[in-house]
Amino acid sequence: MHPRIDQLLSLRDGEPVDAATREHAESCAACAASLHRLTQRRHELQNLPPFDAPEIDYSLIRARAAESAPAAMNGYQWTAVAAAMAAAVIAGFMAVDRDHGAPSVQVRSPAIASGVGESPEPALAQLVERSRELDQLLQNMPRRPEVQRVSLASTVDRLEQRVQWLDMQLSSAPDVAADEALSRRMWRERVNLMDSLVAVRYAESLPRSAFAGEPPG
Amino acid sequence: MSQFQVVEVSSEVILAAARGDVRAHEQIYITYRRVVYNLIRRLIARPAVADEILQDVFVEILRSIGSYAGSGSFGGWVRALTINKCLMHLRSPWHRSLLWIDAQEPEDAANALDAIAVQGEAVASAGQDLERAMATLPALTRAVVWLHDVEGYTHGEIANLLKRTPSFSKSQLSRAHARLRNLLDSPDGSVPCIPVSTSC
Repeated sequence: MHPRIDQLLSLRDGEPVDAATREHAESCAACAASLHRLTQRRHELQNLPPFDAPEIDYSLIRARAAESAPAAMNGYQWTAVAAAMAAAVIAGFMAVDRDHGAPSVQVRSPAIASGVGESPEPALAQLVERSRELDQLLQNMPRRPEVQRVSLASTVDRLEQRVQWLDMQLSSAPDVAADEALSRRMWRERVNLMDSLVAVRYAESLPRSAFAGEPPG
Repeated sequence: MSQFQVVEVSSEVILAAARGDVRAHEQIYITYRRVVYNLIRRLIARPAVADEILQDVFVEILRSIGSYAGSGSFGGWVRALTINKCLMHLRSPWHRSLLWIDAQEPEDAANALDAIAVQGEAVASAGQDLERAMATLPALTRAVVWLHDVEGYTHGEIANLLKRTPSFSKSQLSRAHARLRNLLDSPDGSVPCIPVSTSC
């Protein structure tokens, strides 16, 4: 039986494959040709002509960078700010609806109820897994409304930017990979930021009636 | 080979940029603009979005260059930042609402591959090339192919970037190559030797 394409790709990339697959690929002309074609395809991809970059006025980039000066906060401060922003946004939602006569508020987002923040020292694997769950949760949330509050859009933007910065550090900085304590601290911050992000998005997606409770009889 | 391994700026320029030297910033922009944009366009199909991300990447470089520790290659740092900007866009709900980037769910994968097959017939019959065939792949799948086959990332590293598993990366690569083969190698409808793995 011919190897599957994933097995041929493993052969091409020098990854471990079972002996029978390797022997077959070496003895079968069709599979050898397929393997050669996969190698050739990779070569073709690597030699695709580059795109021409657009002409961008560099002063625009410099101006934008100056507008958003680098944040001097550390991870804990970021987490505190993120939590405060999320709480403020949710409180803002509740206040608006209370002003409209709503007597009670019963809102607890799935992210806030997560539990990671309650544990003093969760394991790195737990944090990574929780972070992945929150990513999934965020992806499955309803599409954002077309009309958004400025404060809310700004909050979401700041949280996303910080998460993005953390992602870059976690995926590429050798210092982070080598230092488990640092890695854990960054993953923990990511979880907290994602918690806040999900909480804000969750509040944003709720109908106003969710904040108002049952209408009086 | 990744173009980021070819392009390099001196450590003096990087240090000057970290101190806020405007000329050093501009030199980094001029040096990396082309390779950054090329990588963005390989991951993000829409030119208008790619142009925006190009600006975002260099804004981020200017903002964060002080955090570059100097222990790895600067090009690798710029590349990682670029990839993260692109993946951030691909993961965003705005993008997801427009395109089927997530082929992890079996039904989504089947629908996505059906859609590609329809597009693929047109591509093959028009005699289009590898570039056009790549453009028919879902964004996330295309990203996996580019990161693995061109930028040299391992499946483990791609999984880390995508917050997925290495087997997800492997399955995306397999599907992509099967699709490219169907689009580019068998325009006459001949039966390919390679069965497509349907397992994730």
